[in-house]
Amino acid sequence: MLPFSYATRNLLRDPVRLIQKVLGAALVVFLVYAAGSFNEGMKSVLMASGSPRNVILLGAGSEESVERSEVSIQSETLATAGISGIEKRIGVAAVSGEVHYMAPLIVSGYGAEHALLRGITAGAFEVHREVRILEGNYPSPGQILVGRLAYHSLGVPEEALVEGREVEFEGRVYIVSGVFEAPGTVMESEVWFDRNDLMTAIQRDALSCVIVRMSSDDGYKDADLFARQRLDLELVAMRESDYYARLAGFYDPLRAMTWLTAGLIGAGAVFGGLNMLYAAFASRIRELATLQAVGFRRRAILFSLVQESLLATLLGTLLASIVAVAFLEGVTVPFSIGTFRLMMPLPVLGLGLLVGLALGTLGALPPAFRCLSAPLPVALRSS
Amino acid sequence: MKRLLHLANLAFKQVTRHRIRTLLTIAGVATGIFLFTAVETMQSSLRIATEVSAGDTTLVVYRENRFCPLTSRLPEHYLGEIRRIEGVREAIPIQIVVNNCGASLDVIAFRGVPPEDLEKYSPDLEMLSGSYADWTARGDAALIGENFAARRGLKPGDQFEAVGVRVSVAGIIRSSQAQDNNVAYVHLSFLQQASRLGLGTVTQFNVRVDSSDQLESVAERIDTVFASDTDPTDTKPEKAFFAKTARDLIDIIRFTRWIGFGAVLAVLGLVANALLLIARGRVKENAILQTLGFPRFSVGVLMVWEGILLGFLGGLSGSVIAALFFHLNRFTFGNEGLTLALTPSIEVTLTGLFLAIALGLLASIWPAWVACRNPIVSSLRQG
Amino acid sequence: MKNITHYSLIAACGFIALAQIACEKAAGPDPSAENTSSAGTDPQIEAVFLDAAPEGAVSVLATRKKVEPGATITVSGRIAGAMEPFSGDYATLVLADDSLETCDRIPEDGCKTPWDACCVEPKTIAASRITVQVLGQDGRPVGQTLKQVRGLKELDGLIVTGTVAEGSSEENLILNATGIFLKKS
Repeated sequence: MLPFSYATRNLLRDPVRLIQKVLGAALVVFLVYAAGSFNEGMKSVLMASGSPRNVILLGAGSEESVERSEVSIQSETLATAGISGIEKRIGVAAVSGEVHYMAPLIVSGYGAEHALLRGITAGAFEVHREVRILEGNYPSPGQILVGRLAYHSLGVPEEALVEGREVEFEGRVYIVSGVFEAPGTVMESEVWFDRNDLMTAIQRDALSCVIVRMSSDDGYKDADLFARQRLDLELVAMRESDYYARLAGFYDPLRAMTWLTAGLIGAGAVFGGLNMLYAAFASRIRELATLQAVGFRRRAILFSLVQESLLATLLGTLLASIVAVAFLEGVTVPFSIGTFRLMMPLPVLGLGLLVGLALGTLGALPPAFRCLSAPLPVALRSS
Repeated sequence: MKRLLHLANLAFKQVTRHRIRTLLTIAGVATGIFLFTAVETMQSSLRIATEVSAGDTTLVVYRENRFCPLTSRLPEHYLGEIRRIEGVREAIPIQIVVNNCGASLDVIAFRGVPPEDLEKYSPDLEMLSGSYADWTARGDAALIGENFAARRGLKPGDQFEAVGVRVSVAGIIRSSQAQDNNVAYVHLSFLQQASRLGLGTVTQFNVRVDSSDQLESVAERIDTVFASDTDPTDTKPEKAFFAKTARDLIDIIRFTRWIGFGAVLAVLGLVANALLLIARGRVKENAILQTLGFPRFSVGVLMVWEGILLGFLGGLSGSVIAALFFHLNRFTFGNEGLTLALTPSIEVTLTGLFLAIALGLLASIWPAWVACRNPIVSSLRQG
Repeated sequence: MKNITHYSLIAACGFIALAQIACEKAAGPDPSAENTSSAGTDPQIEAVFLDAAPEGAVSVLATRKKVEPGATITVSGRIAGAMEPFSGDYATLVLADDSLETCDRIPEDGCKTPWDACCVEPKTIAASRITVQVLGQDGRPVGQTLKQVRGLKELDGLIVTGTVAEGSSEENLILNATGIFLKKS
């Protein structure tokens, strides 16, 4: 086998080429990280937003979007009485009748921006266990509770939505009563109103949905039974996690496009890199032939060439990883569903590493084979 | 001139001599140009949809402070008053039902209109198959826009269901108005009932004015009439309405401009890289050419021709594949009930091709300079 | 070299064995060893099915006109009136009036779920259906679906005898079935 130092010395022989290889590999791997983190962020915010213990009762025909759904206001009390197995805390049933509405808000001192508004009652905290008020209080009439990332969706600085600030909606001014967190869920980008306030403001007399938290994971059956027994309410029962999984599926084509774009850019970089490798190895045909003449086997030389290539691409992978973790991870992206953060969990990092490895090994093979396939006498005579 | 053509011939031979290198470079350029053409297609489709041009005479009357069609509700009786306003040539009530207001490639939109009014309002609607008579005769019949039909593989006689509404296809239409090609037109009363919204309410009114310079004044007049009603209106030219409403969509497409720039730079880099490799590998050969009598200028021109050829071949493949890709797939972006069809155009395809040629030319300048600057004697001595 | 081959073979055998065990686990328990009670219909459901049609059946529309919780009624109808008339987890189904125009009655209608009567106005559908359920001894619907019990499927005609459940009204009638007769088509 050729010594490892042979590979390292060869790499350093042409620093410009080395930098090109490293940057090329870094670009491809960075793109994989960008597409992967975008996908993971979007997917995970939708997955985390729905709990399998929560069952959402929607208007029949509106399973694709809760904003379209209309459910009679009596459904809340009827569901509380009619569904068995609802979780209770200190005797209070975990049931939340909510109004979901998308509309423009005017933050005092700034322009109007879309936001997802949710009209709630205290029951919302029984059902959405991830929600925690960080500062301030539950909203009274005339007040709103904002999610920690709501400022991002509204395109205003964080200070514009702290406790005490004003927001205008439908010609009326509301005071921010506090800020809540719901880590990793779409709720963090929402603005929560007192339900009666919201229903009055938008002149609506029906709820969007009733969310019920069951005491066990298979409690969904009982909520479904209720929906089937009360045909007059025209409800459909769905696990909250299924609802969000369906919503995630709605954005699949967009996520596929992200991968396609990254793939295309990466392919372009790969073609360029292959070109360079062909040229690099081609200029060393004589050198490699000499090594064979001296006694090294083709296998050993191939291995050394792959080592060289791997070194460069893994350096590029390392560079891409550092840049990605420093600049990509945690970046917030506002989107229709809410704001999500770019995430780089182990699978994404692993994928990047795999791509780097593949670039190094598979990328080196075709040019290496080409160089080593020539018969020895011919190769020795080449210039 | 003759000399230039001879050099071009020689350049072609050089390019075909090193097949792998040429193919890799062409593949890389094709990928970059594909990306650029894709981005340009999106940008131009967006421009067509949002920039108000001279021939536009359509206004959209929407509920004030609403964006998603789920939330805009106007009384149908507004139609009579709108028709009486000076400058209004024709008006039609439209009920829109979409499966989701978020930005995605998978949006389904129904437009309910009074069947007797559609032909009068849009006389330029071209019936590609089926007939108006079939559509007016049956209550649940639908006229499907060309793109929508192609996306879902529908033809007259088919049935399909979406958003809780089931319709029977009565005809396929094509229209000069972009929105029409991506939606399904159904009877207004049918949609109002099927989507449980009830008769008497519509999402919006589309208004045709006598001439395009009256757009602003008529819009103001309409809003003044309903300003103090329970459902005040916000009237805008159709394209301005799109520009304001489909926010997410516009953000995504504007962002892709950066990808376009990146693709252009990548192509430039790829071709320059490939040519530099060629220049470095042909030092001795170029010296021999000069010894034989070729002037330095010719050696440089040879390199430039190679750059142009590589750019042309890569650009041709990339832009043609991109045009076919969009033609066969008929992507339609949707957001807030509005749709944007990404349609390939000859202008964009040719732009991609000419850009590739220009980039090839630009990228070859430095390598050509390098190639013709090398001193002959030391180049000949190179081993 | 010999050692490498030797150990590789052992490792390969180990992997194959592990894979075999995993596959068996994934396939689940042997069907023939299953408990007979879970393989067949719940006896509480079986007990409700009748061999002869009960007398005095009225239409679903007629039952909706005057609802008395606790009263015994016999009603005739078809399994239709919803996209999924059968519950997957409990013994309930939706029974619609015979007059409801399901899509199979419309010529040239290629609808895949004709029992949802989607061509009919939602208000009419809502007024033409009731819920039928089979209660267990605990007073709650039996935890097994009625679909495929004695071949029961959508659009089948039924005559059902039972008591009107407490809480029923003209807007929503729930019938606790004591007898179900499947009409021959």
